[in-house]
Amino acid sequence: MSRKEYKDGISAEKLFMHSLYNEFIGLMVMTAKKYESDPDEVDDIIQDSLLKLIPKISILQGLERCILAAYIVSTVRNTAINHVKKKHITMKHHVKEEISDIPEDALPLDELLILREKKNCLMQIWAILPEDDRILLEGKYILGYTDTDLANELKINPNSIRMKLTRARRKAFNLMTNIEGDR
Amino acid sequence: MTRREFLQERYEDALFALLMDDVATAEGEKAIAENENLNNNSNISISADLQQKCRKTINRSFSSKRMHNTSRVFSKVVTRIAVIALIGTLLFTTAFAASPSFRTKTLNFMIEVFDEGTAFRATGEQLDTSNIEITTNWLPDGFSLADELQNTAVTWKQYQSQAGQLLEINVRKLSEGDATAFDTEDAKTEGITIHGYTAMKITKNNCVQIIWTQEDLGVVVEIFGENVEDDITICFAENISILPK
Repeated sequence: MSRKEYKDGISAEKLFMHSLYNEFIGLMVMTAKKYESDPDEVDDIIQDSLLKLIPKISILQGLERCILAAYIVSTVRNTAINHVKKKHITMKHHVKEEISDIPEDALPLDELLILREKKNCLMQIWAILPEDDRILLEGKYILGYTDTDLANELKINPNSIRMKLTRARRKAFNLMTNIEGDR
Repeated sequence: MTRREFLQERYEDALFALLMDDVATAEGEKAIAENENLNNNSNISISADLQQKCRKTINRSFSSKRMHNTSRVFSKVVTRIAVIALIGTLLFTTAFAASPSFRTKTLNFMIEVFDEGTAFRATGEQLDTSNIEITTNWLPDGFSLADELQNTAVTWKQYQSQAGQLLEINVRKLSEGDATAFDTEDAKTEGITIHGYTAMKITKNNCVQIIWTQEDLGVVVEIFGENVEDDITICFAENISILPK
């Protein structure tokens, strides 16, 4: 890329960011307010969210509008949750170790293939999943965070991320299978 | 982990990515509907204070990006070096020539021209400078201070107008071996005089940069104007005072 192209690119990116802010600021504020009522804290959450979104402009510019909206909401939600966690020192700052009777064994491949055809299954069980699992899975699959990014967000050892993701996925798959089995 | 387990994990990862794409689409459609409802609802308003903070955050992030980029350009491999006679006089405009003791303490600058830009590199011993005070003694009508930053290496102030015009003053201290670069590729460059210093004026698209060195303070000064007339940017530069505290 030539210098001219780079500089023109910076102006276009700045315009894109302003345009995105103008369009979605209401949604960002409303999302932040679900977690924090103090106006100053909401302001901080919005500023931090913008600072997280700006480096991702090249990704944001390529997203379909509905995915872009989901990305923005996920970013603000994760930022808000981290703000709340930092504020309330009695809250746990790390993902809890699961004490669960959900097996860690993988589902057979044929069952996984069946689940792939049930597009709404994951949507149906999404709200049932523990919040920490949702944050982990959103961070990985919607926001595209690396294992290091996820470890920083959740304040856990980066070496634990792979195992946490595997457990979270299998928990979701098993919930989906249970729903299918109930039908 | 066995190979089978590894492949199973990769398959689960890929499958979940597809399923999450559906979740993201569904969540996104809900978010868009909610957003449209918010935008159409005149009872809901965002405070002016928050709006101003957000715009400043975005503008500041992009100003930082622009400053960082010029330094990254310089760090690339140099293909050729040439000294511009016009800028060479920068090395001799102070008491540098008059006093041997002053000469040994003055920060020298070498100007290097590359295909992509022009760099100012500090080659001499750094003067023991104190903090720097920048005073803006004149602003065009309609401009006001939008943002500022000061740390041990950079002092930066940004002024904006309602019409989207921008004026910035950026003063950077350089230690021996440090360099800062400016984009002169396909730009019009000429020499002018600011505060008695020989300065380089770079004009490119709708932007004007005026750069000079002040050896006595060990700094490179950059004035940046966007969507502003050349003579306004020059007048702004001429009315800035840079003094040690």
